[in-house]
Amino acid sequence: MSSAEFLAQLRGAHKAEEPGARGIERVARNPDCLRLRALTIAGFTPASAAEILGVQSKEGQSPFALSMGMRFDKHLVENGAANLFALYRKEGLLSVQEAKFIAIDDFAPGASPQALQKRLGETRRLLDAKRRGDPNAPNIIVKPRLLVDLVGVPHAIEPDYLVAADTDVFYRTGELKSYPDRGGKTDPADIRSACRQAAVGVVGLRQALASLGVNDPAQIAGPAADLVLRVTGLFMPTLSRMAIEGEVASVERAISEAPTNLQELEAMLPANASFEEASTIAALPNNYRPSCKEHCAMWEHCRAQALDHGHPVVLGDQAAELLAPAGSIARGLELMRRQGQPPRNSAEAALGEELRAANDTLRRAVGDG
Amino acid sequence: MADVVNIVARMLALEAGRAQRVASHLQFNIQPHALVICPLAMAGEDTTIHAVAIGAIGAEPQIRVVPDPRVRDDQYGLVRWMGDIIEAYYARCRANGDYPQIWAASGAAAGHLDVMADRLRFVRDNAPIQRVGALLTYATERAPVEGQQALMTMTGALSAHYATGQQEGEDQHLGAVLVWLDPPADGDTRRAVAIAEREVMGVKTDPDFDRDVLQPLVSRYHQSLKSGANAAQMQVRVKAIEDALSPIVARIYAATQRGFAYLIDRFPPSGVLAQLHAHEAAVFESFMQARDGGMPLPYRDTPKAGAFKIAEREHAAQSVAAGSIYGDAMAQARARMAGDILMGAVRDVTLIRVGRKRVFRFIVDTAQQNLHMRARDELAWLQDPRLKCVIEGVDKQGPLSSVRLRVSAGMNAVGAPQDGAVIELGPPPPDWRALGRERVKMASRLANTPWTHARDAAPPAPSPRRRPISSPRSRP
Repeated sequence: MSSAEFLAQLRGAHKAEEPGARGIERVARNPDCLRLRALTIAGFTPASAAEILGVQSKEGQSPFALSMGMRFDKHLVENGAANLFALYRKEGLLSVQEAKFIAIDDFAPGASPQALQKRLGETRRLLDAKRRGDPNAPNIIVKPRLLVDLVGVPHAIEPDYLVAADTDVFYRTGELKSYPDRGGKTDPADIRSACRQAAVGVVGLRQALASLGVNDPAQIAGPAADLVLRVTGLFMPTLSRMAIEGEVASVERAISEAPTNLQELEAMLPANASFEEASTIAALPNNYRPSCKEHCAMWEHCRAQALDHGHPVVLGDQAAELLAPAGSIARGLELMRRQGQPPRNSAEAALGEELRAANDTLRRAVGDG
Repeated sequence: MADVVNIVARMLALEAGRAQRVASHLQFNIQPHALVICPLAMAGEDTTIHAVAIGAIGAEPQIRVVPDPRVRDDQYGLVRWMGDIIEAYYARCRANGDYPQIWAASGAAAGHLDVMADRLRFVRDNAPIQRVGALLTYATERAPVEGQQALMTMTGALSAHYATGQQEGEDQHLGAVLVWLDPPADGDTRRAVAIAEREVMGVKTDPDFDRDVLQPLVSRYHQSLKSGANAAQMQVRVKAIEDALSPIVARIYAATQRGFAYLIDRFPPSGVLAQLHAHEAAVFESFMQARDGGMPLPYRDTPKAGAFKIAEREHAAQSVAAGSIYGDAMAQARARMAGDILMGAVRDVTLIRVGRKRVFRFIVDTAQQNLHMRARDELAWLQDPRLKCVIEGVDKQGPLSSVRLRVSAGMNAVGAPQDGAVIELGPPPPDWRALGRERVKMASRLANTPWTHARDAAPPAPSPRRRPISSPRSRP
């Protein structure tokens, strides 16, 4: 069975959902979770999967937060991206002459297939112009439409903007986020997530360059991105230039491993299996981590499974690492109490000793309280 | 290294379906006059307070809600009301030579107060609002400093005393932690935790609630405002928003108050708390004097101020770590496990005279495998820290280590240890005044900002290359 046929079978009657940069970024966050990858490749968002699993999904954003995000984006890109341009001028990254601006949406607004196709074509044309060193290539491109290929299936993404000075070889991706920029106090989870989304944009740029015949796209589209955040409590933007080598590498790894995942899946699942069935999703191996709650709507289901199996990760990453030789919390308790089977190997024996010493310390210090 | 004691406690808590104690002594001072502040922000509007509940420990809350915190006058009205309470509280503490303490439900709530402090103190042309920001800054700037007693979170305080059967991050939900502390009668803690987690305990309301309840109410409020509704009609709109938000902040406030029941009178105070109390009071007085003197509270520190703050944090972390092992059984036990306490039998006590000075030396034999000590480390006797020793060397013989020590202080007051006695030596108690001395040194060293931190400063010119010494023959 070809990849496309197999994916169609997995999808069943479900209409494929575009994961977007956020969806691909999610896969890169937990690369060992085959469940999340398989669903993303097949065109299911975690929210849809959670619904199939019967989990109350809490993936939606508050309308107040949505409205704030939209107002901030609009504030920056309206009037020919005047405020975004002013920000780059202030930072000395664009000169007065480097004010060539294009909003891809303006070419073909709407969500019709023709409009989407037109936006793809226009983006490609502009990227080609910049690659050829055309002096008329825009300096800021808002909402370019790029493709990221996942197991031969192209998925469209729309980074917030691309930016390049006339002297730059190529564009870098930019992300607009309405988070308050609090310097060292900015929520690191927000920054990580924004950088990974930008990394998906870099991968999209590289794939676009490859399709334009560039031999080494990574040389031209470097692992760098600009993050635009908000001054705390105000609408003023701040700009941070980020190096995102790690994020780009993790996205590329997630994408390159996808075909192997499909072969694994085909071997693992029964014939005619479909992700429309909760049992099929539940049977996929997952990798529940404490951070899943931040980004995956299926986290409650995965946590419940981990609890059912007594997986140490339900007590945190450190517990998962410490109790790895035992494999489960119940076995860890057995080793600590010298109950059940004797230690199966030296690692279990050492773990038992360590847990006993810690338990003795706890009992001596606090009693049985 | 993983905190194995904590992991074991979490394993036991999961098995029992009930939180387990992980502290022998109270880890923080709980000021009897402390102020509990539970703010609720509007999603996406990080510098707003939509509703807030405030009250003393054990007191009913005072609740204030604004119809839309994005409307500046409404928002500042709430902030001024909150500021009056905080100002009066700070003044009482200062008059008594004490320090104020603010309790928030969780790290998210404390973080929100921090954002508010950062924002409010830079509001232009509004001195009362700036003042609220400045007062909050005392608590929020202290929050990252180890051993601080100014801004406490209930989730943090409970986690320092109890381990639950879940991940550390999940302990940030106060409702879930309270379920672990007081599990349901049917024993199904897991189900009860899942139900508790659905309740808002952070600083933002649930997105579904925002979409289905709050946004329509706020929209109707604005529509009425625009259509010139009369006072009675506006009152109805305002009350609808108050009725929607008040129960949420009241619930968070009640949960925070409930948390105190698991801390107050449950643990004897840790030995270091008296010192932390005195230190915090001194820091507070210094902060208030700086406010009286009109000293600014910048958003970003200068390099010099930043260096001072790093030194303060390092000093606090070291002092609390060293101080906590005196008068805290659990901290001592952890230090023993970590190899920070030397425990063994004394032998070969010798006394020699060097001039008029008496020098005691002795050896401690120990079977501890994970000692983290080296020559020249100073140790103090845990039983009476006036006796201090310096490690002169460590000899390893198979599983045994022999640590050679010289008594450096306390030989007259305490006396040298006896041959054959079992002794425990650990890091000496902290010197809380050391920071002042350190700051004097730093001030002189940082009188000129190093080029690495000075704006637009050029690096110093490289020192001129030395010419190779020419041989006499090659000279002209």
